[in-house]
Amino acid sequence: MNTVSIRTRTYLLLAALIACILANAAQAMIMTIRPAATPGGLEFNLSAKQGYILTPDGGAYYMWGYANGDGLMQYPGPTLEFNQGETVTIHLTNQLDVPVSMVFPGQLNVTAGGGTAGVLTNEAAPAGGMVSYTFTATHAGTYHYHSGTNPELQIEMGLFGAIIVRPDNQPAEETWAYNHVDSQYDYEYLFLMSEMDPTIHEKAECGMWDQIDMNEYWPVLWFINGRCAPDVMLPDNTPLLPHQPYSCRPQVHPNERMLMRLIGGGRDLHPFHHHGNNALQIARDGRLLSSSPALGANLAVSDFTQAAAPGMTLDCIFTWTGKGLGWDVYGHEQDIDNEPTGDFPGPGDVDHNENGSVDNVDPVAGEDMEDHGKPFPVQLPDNKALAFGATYSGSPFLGAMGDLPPGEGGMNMFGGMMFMWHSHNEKEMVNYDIFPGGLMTMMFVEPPGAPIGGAHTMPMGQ
Amino acid sequence: MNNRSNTMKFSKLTLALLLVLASTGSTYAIDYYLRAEAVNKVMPDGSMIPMWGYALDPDAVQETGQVIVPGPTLVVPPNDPNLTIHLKNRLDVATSVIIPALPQAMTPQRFPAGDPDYPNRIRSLTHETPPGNAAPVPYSWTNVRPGSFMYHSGTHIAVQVQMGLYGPATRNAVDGAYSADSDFDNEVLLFYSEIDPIAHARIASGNYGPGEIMTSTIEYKPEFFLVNGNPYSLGDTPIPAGQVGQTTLLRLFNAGIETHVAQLQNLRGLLLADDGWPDNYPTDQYTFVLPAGKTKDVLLNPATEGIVPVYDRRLRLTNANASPGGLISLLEIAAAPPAVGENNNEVQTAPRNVPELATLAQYWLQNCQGCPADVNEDNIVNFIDFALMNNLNESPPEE
Repeated sequence: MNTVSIRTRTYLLLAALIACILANAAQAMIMTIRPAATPGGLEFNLSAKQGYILTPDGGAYYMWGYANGDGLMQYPGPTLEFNQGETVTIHLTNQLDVPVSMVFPGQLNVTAGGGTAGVLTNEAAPAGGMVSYTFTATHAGTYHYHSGTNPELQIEMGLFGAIIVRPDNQPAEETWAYNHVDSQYDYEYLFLMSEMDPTIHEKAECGMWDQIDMNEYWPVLWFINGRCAPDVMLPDNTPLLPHQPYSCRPQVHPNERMLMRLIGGGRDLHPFHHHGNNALQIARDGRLLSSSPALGANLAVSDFTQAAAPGMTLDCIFTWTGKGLGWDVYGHEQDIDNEPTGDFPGPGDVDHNENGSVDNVDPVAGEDMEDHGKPFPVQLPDNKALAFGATYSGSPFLGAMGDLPPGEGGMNMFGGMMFMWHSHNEKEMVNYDIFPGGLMTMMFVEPPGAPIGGAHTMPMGQ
Repeated sequence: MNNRSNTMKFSKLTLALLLVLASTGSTYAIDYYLRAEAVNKVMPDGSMIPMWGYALDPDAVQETGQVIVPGPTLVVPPNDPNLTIHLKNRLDVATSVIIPALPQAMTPQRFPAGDPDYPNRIRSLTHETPPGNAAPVPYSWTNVRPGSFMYHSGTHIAVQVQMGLYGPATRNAVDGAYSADSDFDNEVLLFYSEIDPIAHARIASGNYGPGEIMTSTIEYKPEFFLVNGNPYSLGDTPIPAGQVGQTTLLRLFNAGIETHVAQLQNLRGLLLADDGWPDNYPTDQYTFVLPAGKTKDVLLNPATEGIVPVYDRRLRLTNANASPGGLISLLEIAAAPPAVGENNNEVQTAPRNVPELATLAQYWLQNCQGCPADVNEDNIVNFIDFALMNNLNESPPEE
């Protein structure tokens, strides 16, 4: 049997090559829309439309949603991207047969033009009515928008979406969420959370409006970015889900900073629980948690469950090094078919696999030095005693591949480690009572150098 | 905060009050005479809901106050931190008053050992006021700290709070809500609560409890969601909430059983305090999570005039499922007054909301007769002068 360490090194070379090729694939891991800037600012054209979304349990549900231009209705609506300081105008054309509108919580001085006055803002008349909203994005951050017309029904029907405002003062070579280095990140992901009571959508589809009682609300489907698990792990824009273009496939290398943009999009609070490590909550409602701008996110809170209440947004920085595991996540100095020695670095270093060199492997970037060389605490059973999953690499070590029986594995090409990220309200991890599903995804820690993003690292379900 | 002149005015007002109260020989304890009594409330769809509320009476004898839900705003003055509520009970059942955020000498009451339904079980968290009592029963708090608080029944809370026995209590520091850093010009209270009409009907008709049609609130299903005692109806008059360039203290309360999230539109606020405990570093937010029993203080500093909607982002925005309704409030921000020199002599009176004015009047009645100067120069010194002074639009008299 071959050994892990040899294949690890071979792989790392390969990965470094791929990384070079992909070096310019920037950190834009969130799919957004952003029109070309004009002297008058940004002009978005959205429409409100109907359509159907699909859920993993086989459901197809009638929805209302915002569409980019005259594109397909989306659940959630398009993620709008601006730069801080830009003046933004959003033109909304209503193709539904009820009045509809948009509000922008957290933004200041939003003015509405056209349409007719509603309770919360101006509304576009049914069947072709138009309304425009203009504001200046004064601050960077994570925000959302939703219908301001009968929001209790229209948000449920799907009329909401995310907004990302980029800061105006970040260094050219870096990506910041806010105007301070404390918000620096390597990769960013959106977690726009919502829920659904299918009976409302079934009645809406049949026009049985008088049968819908919002006080009987009983959601049984839960979503991240408009998809239920495991559909969240399909790529962006998968043709399988034409009305649900947004994935949620968080990936990060050890010790890199992942920005989690969390939004409570529905009417219930979904405590978002991320396994693997705490995250530092650095911003709430689009403002850095700070006692003074110069001091950065000095009021940030470290936590393992992020409570983005309905309407609230949170920005969190997540990093992972394997710290505290008590064993070397890379399997340095270990052959999985030999008894671990656990004495690295020390006099016990030996050529375990008799390949001619002592297996004294240097630590790699992002590794927690406390655990460097510490042995894996259990003897792995023989493959004949194991059952396999599609994402098992054959090795417990990060970036390592082990032997697998023919036909097994293959969905974890770089030997990443997976952690389930989900609503800590555990009943929300189902699709209409079927586990697993719902408000959940798998986060991948990929080994250093492994490419992040793109279908080749996560071909699940394709 | 960033409006020095108003800060000065607030301090001067406070000073004036202090001097006046001292000179009139105040006993340094504010007394409120509350009366718990049944009242019917009409909802926008015409349904009549039996409720229990509080009335503010002028003294221990007269019962002239109007029964309202939520109960009257009990203002504890900055210089007078001791509060006593004298409770009369015109309900059919015993009741009491507690303020969960404030220390209070509690004397829990139990059912008798021989009670068939609840032997030996607690029925009241503190001493009770029996039905039909002639002399009011006092409930006292000393050294009330600055903050927003909620008083409510401490007896059979699952029933009595649901029925409407709740209300706001507030105290300011001498120089602001909590300190000079949280000085403010205007004040708006948004007090959330809920009604489950079936529970109200069952409780009011004696069909609630062990062996009855409704045994508990486990099937709780609210249909009406109230702000300051009323659900939103289309066309409701916006609440005056100050003007551009001024600060407004938004006091949020949730007496309902559900969590609500007050979301501001077109404006943000500084979250000053939870449950009357000030945060060291107020955070700039637009969502304010209000679990059951929570109070939050938010400082608004509007830069533009217009309507600022505040609504429940948990989307309780209907009246018995009719839309729009429920927890929607429209705050009206007035334009900044003309610059000095352009102005006429008109007194700028951004009107305060009615319950607060009533409270001011009551406070003036009890503690402050003769204390304010004739601010509006109508040759009558009365609570209107006091209200005008407190509104900070006119400098209080120099001592």
